[in-house]
Amino acid sequence: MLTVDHVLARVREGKLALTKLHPRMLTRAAEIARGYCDAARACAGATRAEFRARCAEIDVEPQERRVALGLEKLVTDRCKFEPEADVDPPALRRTVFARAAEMRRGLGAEAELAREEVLAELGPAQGCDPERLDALLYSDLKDAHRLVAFTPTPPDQVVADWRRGQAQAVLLRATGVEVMVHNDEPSAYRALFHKLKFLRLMYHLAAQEDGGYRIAIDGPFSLFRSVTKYGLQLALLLPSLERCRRFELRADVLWGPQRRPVTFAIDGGRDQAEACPVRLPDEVATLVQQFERLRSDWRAAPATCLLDLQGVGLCVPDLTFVHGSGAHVHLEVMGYWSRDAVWRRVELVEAGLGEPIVFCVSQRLRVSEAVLDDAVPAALYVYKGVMSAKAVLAKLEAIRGRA
Amino acid sequence: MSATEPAPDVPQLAFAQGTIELRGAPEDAAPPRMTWDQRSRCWRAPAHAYADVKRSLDGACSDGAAAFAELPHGVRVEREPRAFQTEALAAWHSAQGRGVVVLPTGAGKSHVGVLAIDAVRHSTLVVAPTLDLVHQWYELLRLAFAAPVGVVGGGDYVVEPITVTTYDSAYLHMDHLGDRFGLVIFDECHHLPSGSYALAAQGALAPWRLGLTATPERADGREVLLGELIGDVVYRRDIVEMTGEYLAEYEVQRVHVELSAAEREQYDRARATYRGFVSDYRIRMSARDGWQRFVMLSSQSRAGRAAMLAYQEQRRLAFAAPSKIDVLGGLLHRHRDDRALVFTEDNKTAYEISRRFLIPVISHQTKVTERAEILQGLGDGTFNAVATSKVLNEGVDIPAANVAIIVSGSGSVREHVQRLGRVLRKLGGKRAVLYELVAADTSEAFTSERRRDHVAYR
Repeated sequence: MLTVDHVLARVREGKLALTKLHPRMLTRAAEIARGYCDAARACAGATRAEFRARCAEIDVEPQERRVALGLEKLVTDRCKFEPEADVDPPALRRTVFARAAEMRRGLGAEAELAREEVLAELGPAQGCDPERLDALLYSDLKDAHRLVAFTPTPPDQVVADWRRGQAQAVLLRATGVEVMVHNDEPSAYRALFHKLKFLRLMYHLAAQEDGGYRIAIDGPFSLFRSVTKYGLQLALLLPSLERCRRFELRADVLWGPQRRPVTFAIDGGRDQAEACPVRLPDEVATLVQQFERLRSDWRAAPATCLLDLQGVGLCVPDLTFVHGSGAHVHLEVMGYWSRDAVWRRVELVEAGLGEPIVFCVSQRLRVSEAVLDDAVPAALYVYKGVMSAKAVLAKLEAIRGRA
Repeated sequence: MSATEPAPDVPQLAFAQGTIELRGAPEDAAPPRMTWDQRSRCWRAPAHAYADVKRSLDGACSDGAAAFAELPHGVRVEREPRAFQTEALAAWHSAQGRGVVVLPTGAGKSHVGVLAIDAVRHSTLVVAPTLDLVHQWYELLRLAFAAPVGVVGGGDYVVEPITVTTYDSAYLHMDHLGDRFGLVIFDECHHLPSGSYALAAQGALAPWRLGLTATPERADGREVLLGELIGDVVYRRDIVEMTGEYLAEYEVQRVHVELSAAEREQYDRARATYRGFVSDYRIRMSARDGWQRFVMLSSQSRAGRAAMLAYQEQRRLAFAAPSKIDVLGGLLHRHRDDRALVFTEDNKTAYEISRRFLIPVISHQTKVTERAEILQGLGDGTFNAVATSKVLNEGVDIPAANVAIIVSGSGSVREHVQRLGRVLRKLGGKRAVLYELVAADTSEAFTSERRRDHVAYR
């Protein structure tokens, strides 16, 4: 991962913008990356310091320096360094330094200690000559570690990773972000909110007229002060956003040595990378197929909404069933998730989640359908093995009947 | 809360990632120091407001926030406190167990910490700036309380009712440890007001807080934040007041080292290149953004790159010229029967000195076990000198050390005073000496003048 020092950006009128590399510079970046990759290959068995020195020999113009440092970091990340085997440098140091202190104390007022004498005396006992003993003394330092493996990568790939890493590195200094997200796959939303939860970030969700969502994301402490303590989490969230169909991100960032407040905006998503068809999990797709064969008044479609009860929780339905009368009911397949997850959905409904919904739960979770009573517009469907389209239809009709 | 549990009828106070949340309280009546959080529909405050919030609620809440416990027992190995330590503790008590105690290095600040833990008898987190200090606190507390002591940092993550950690780890872990301790001791607490470390103090709900330092003043003036983060200064004694009675007598010798003719030529050439660039681009290095401008402009041209390399070269010559290292060799020889600490500005020089004179070095790369061995070796005479850059600047307790040699350093008064403090621990009739090696007629002379601006050097 790149760090803030590797970012190539400009601030103008309070806005931070990543510098787009000129095609000429992109070619140069690939050349430089190739140089570092070649250095890594050539330095097999050399020390980290030697590898760094080799990289420093690559001719880089001053204005290319920052890009080059980032590329060097990415290539170094693909290298594996290890200390020399079968040597115990701390034990060697203990022996050598203790003997040196002893010999120094034994000297008269005039002659100073000659290090060569100490090394010459101790070398044979260590099974090596004085020069080797000298070299081994600090062979455990990071700079002395040996390059033992390098994952070969095409230079263009290193440059592509550099470009992708720029925005992520900016977010390390973010105090909070606001994202507009559009998805047509519940799994992408679900992955995003799982990631938010895993990263222990907080959010505020608002549905937009165009079917997307505006999500303000920061952490608990952000309520009191703009802090960058959630920057790493926000940076780690970016790959999940990139898996959404489309996103626009706006971040508040404290930038530069003076940590001046600036804004930063990027957009992206799968739309820009590839056109992907909507993918439903196999068990959900099977349910839809079976349901269509029932020829009922309900039509099933992948859900694109988020059901959020602020301060209580959120769920991401897989499907939305629409009845000929216009009534609708969502369905979330929880399968084998966990009993806790089921209890959280029950809490959500009891706390006033307004939307009608069926939660499909495997029997293995040992939850009773009676946990949700008939007074709420929701139902638990506990199934054994695979979900039954007929049973789902009965639940939909039951909920419609309560409306 | 599970769906089957009854809804609570009193507001619930809980700890959440360095903050405290109050749920179940009316939205229209703000409890003191709390802010309504629309994201989670509850009242929220930074964790360090816990004591005030609790007091304001006057028991009208269910407290699920505080997870700290009473210690099963107090100090097992009593040590008679000195008069000033007793006074310091009393002053801290009078301030409701919140405040900063300022005592010179070597006077025994840590023991004030031990007395505070013994007085409060609740789970305690000690936060120290370096792993050496963490290790030192660990040993001190383990012996004093005859109980397991936890360590968080440097690859360890063991949490016990008494735990020691670094400022960096406290910042990283306070979101999930902030509810576990009733007392937090911030050692060398002048570090605390920096942006991220301050968050560690705000993320802990400890009602009792003690700061320990010899030098609360900071160049950026942020020491004023200590009042909010820990409490006001409640007790202060100066280095001059305590010398002789509680601290070793000492002398300071500044040694001006002439560069050799070749070094002088090299230095002058490098300095001319660097100064020429600065002058051509009208960079005022004394200005607030002078250094940043130099860094920025030096990255934009070959001349700039040459100026930056020249800057580094002249600095290297001033800080670690071979002539200076030769003088160091003479001092190490002269003090071969003493215990010397050799301080440098950078790790590279410290390692060069270690290799050249075959003395141990302690840096951020030295593992905890080896650090302990080296410090013990210096104490028992196995080694007669140890080189280091900055990691031994603060707090580390080596009573036997009686010689400090500053090969190079920054212009920081605090750093210089702290380095002197390393050899001031009283031990028998010890008399300490601090040598400051300054490359004559170089920019280092100016740096030296700046860092000596303290009563200890007058």
